[in-house]
Amino acid sequence: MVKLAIFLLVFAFEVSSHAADVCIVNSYSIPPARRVETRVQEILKKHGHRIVNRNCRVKILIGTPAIVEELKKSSAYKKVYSFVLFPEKFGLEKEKNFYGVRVFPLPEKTYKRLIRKLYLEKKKVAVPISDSMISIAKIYLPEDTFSIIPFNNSPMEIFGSLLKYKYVYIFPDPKILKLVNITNLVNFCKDNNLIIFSGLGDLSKFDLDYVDKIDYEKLAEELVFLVENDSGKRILPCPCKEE
Amino acid sequence: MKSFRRLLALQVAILIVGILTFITFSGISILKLASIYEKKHLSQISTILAKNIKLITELYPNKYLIKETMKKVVNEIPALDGICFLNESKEFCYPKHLIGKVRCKKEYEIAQLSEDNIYICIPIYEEYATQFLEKKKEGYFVAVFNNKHINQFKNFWILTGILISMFFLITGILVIVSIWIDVNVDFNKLRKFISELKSNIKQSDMNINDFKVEEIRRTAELILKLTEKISKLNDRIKKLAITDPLTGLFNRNYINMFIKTSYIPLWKRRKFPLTVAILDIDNFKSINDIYGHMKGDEVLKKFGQIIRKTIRNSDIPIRFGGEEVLIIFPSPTKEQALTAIKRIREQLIKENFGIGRPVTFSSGLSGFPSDIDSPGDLEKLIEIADQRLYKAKKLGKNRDIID
Repeated sequence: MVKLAIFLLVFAFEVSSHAADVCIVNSYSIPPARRVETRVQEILKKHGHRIVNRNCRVKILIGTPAIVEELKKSSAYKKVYSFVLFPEKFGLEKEKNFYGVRVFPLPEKTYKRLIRKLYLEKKKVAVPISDSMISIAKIYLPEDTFSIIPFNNSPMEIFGSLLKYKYVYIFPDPKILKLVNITNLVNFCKDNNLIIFSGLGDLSKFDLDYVDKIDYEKLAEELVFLVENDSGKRILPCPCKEE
Repeated sequence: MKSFRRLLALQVAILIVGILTFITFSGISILKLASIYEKKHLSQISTILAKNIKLITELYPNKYLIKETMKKVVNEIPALDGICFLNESKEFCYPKHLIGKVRCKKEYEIAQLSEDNIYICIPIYEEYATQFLEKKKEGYFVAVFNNKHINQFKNFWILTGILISMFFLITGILVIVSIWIDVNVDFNKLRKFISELKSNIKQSDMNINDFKVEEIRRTAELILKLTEKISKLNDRIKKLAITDPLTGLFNRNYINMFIKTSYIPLWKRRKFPLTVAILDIDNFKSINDIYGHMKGDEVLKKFGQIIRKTIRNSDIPIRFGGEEVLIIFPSPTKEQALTAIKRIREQLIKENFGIGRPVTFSSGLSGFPSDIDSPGDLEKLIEIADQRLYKAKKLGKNRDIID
C-alpha cells in the first residue's frame, strides 16, 4: 500500500513537472506571426500544457517589441522567442533564460543554398546596407563572403558599385525593404544580369533569383521544443523548406 | 354620403402625410449625402494625393522636385488651397504660410483652418516589401481645401437634390390628383345611381328605410302557419277520401289506394297467413224500414265503433257495402280471427238500440293458406268469405262460417 502511494506521488510529480503553464505574448499582427501563435497554442495544448496569462513558467515572445518589453523586466522564468530579426542586436545570445528561433536564415546559409541550387561558382556577394544598419549587418555578414556596400538615403546611390559584383544579397534592412527601393534594386539587378537573392521568404513575389522559404510549421514545433527542453544552443536556426 | 366624405378626408390626409414624409426623407438624404461628400469624398481624394506625392518623394527624394509637384497639384485642383507633409523632424508645406498652422489631432477628420479653409489629415505609413517589418507611421499628409469651393459644390448638390425631389413630388401629386379626379367622377356616378334607386323604391310605396326585420319575421311565421294548415287539410282530405264518415271504418277507396298497391304486393313477397272476414248485420233492412234510417245509421255507427275498439291495430276494417264490413286479419289462422269476431258479437249483442231485440250479425271467413294456394288473390278470398256469409245467413243467421 505504501509502495503504491509512493508510486502515485512520484507519478503525479512527473506529470506536473512535464506540463507547464505557458504565457504567449505576440507583439506582431502580421499573418505569419499570428499563424505561428495559433499553431504553437495547438501543439502546447496537445502536449498537455496550459496557456495562461500570468504566473507562467515559460513565456513565448513573438516579435521584437515583445522582446524589448521583456528585457525591461527581471524575471527568472524561461523565455522562448521568435520573429526577432536581429536577436544579437539585443544580446539575446548571451541573456540568461532566453532561447529563440531565427525568423530568417543566416545569410551564409542562404548563399550556400543559392550556389547549390543554381550551380553557381562561389564569388563575393554585394550587400547594400544603409548607414544606420552597418553595425548590425557586420554581425551577420562574414567578410570573406559578403561585401557591405553602404548608402545614405537610397540604394540608388550605390548602383554603380554593385556592377562590380555578380551576386547581390538583400539584408533585412528597413531602408532596402522599402517598396520603392526594393523594386528599384531588383529592376537594376535584372537589367544588369546580377543574381539577387534573400533569406526573407515573402520577397519571392518581387521576382528575386532565389529566396529561402520558411517552414512555419517546423518553427512552431521548435518553439514548443524550446518550451519543453533545455537546448544547448541559445538560438536555433531558421527552419527552411527543402526544395 | 357620410362614407364618401370620410373617404375624401382620408385621401387628403394620406396625401399630406405622404408629401411630408417625402420632403423629410429627401431633406435628410440630401444633407446626409452632402456630409458624406464632405467627409468621405474629401478624405479619399486626400488619401490618393498623399499616396501619389509620397511615391514621388520616395522615388526622387529631391526637395525642389517635391515642391514643384506639390505646387502643380495645388494649382490643378481648384478646391485645393495647399498641401503639407508633417513628420517628427520637419514640416513641409506649399504654400509656405501654412507651416505651423496645421495641427493633426484626429486622422481623416475635417478641421477648420480659417474662415475660408478646412483641412484633413491623412496618416502616412512607411510601406515595406516584407511582412516581417511592421508598417511604421512616418507622419501626416495634410490637404487644405477651399471652403467656398466645397460649399459651392455642396450648395449645388443640395439645390439639385431639392429640384429633383420637387420634380418627383409635383409629378407624384399630379398623378395622385388625376387618379383622385377619376375616382371622384366614378363616385359621383355611384352616388347618383344610389339616389335614383332610393327615389324609385319610394315611388313603389316600399320605403326601404322603414322595412323592418319584425315584419319579415311575422310574414315568415304566417307563411309557416299557412303551410302547416295546408298540410293538415291535405292530411284530412286524404283521410276523408279513405274513411267512411258514419262508421269511422275505411271505405272501399282504401282497398284501391292502399290494399291493392301496397298491402297485396307485401303479402305476395312475405307470404304471411291472412284471414278475411265479411260481417253483415242481420235483418238490417227491417231496422231501417221499421225504425227509420236514423236508427239504422245509429246501429251502423255503433257497430263500427265496436269493431274499431275490439280488433288490433294491425287488422284492417273496411265498410264494404251498406251493412257489410270486411275485416282483413293478418293472423295465422281463421280460428284466431274468429275469436275477435266473437268478441265483436258479444259487444254488439250487449248494446240496446231500443228496438226490442239485440242486433246480431253473420260472418263468413276465408284464409290463406287454408282456402287458397298462393298469396295475393284477395278477391278470391273475399269471394269465398262472401259465399260462407251467404251460407251463414241461410243456416239461420247470427253465426260464423269458416269452411
